[in-house]
Amino acid sequence: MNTTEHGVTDQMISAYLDGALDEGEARMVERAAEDDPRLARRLAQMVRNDRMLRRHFQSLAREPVPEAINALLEPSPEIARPWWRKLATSASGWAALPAPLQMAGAVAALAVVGIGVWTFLEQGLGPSAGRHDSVVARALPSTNADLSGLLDRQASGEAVAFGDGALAIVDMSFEHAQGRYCRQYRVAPGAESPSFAAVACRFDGNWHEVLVERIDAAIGESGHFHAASGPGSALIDGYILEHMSGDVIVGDSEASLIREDWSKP
Amino acid sequence: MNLGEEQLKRAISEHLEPLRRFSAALTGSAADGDDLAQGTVERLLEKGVPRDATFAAWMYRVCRNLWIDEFRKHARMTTPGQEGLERRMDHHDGERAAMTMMRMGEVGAAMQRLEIDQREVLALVAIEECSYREAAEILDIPIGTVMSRLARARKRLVEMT
Repeated sequence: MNTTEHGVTDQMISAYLDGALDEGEARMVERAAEDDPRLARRLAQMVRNDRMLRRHFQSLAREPVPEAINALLEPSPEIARPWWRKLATSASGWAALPAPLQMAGAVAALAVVGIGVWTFLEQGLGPSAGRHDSVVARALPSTNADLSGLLDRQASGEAVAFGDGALAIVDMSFEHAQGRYCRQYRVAPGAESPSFAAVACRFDGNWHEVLVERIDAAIGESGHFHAASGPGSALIDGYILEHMSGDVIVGDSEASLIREDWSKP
Repeated sequence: MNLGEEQLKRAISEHLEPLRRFSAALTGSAADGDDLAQGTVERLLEKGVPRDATFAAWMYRVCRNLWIDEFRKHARMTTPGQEGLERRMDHHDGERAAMTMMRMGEVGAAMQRLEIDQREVLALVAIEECSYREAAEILDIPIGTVMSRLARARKRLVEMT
């Protein structure tokens, strides 16, 4: 097993990506990445590779289902099949719902934490977008103080509880190709409401959510989120892959940006 | 068997996308992946799911075992080679989105050059986002082995891409 001069092993780096290190080990990896540009690049490449793999195979899995498989799963003829069951079968996941419904669901989730007024526009994600990945949510500046505070001040990888009981975490910070700082985060409003993942970018002095996606589960079994990826958030993965410029911002670099209120140098 | 046939069909239908994604990740192509997914569906319908099993974990386990037992020995898996990558490169301009598409295909192809044991761990943890414990149970290996194989897989992918 290779070990860097900072005592960080390949296995620690890999476990860091999965949010499987304890606090002390995670900070050790981040400090090492700060001190060693090669390690930082390797970390960023691993983050990218994971996201690319998810997106690549997700796109393959969303090709039309072969007739042979559909035939196997057809209900037995003697059993009446309610119309809604057919719908549930053909739209087996959130992302398979018609786009307007997806975003309506996202708005409902966001309303729980009180983000405020949202407007949406349909916009392709480019040729890599799957047929269900065609909606980008464009938000007005966030009016939710908890959320703005989270994005302003919280380091990546540390879950925080909002006053209304919602649990939130920033997964990662990155620089957008357009020169803005952006952060990916997730919010679990509670048992009654769906969780969502989102990307917000800092410009004009505020955080603006540029993409929102409902996700099935926001918190891993350990009670922590993944450090640099989100469960089942194909839209988010695609957005970051297409727009991230440079490395993932971690450790002291991120802390410095937090101190400087995310201002550009 | 815990689930009746109709319940089982519904459960499979609800998990069809993860099954097809996992199958594609193991085999490296949509077509071979769907063959594997179809075989898994047939096996699940034939054998059922044990009463105490988590459906998704059992489905992944059946799929992986089928892949190991049958598809691998018949050598029907496609490994996109350098030729395929170069062809894809020719067909894309230098725009960011097209580059992302190309890179995605490149990373997907690189995954198919990993050792089998590394590939299946990577598919479960990095793509299906199973926990280490879930992956260990599906593959019937210790958690430490999951972690070491995963680390090697990610390192190799960086070296190849």
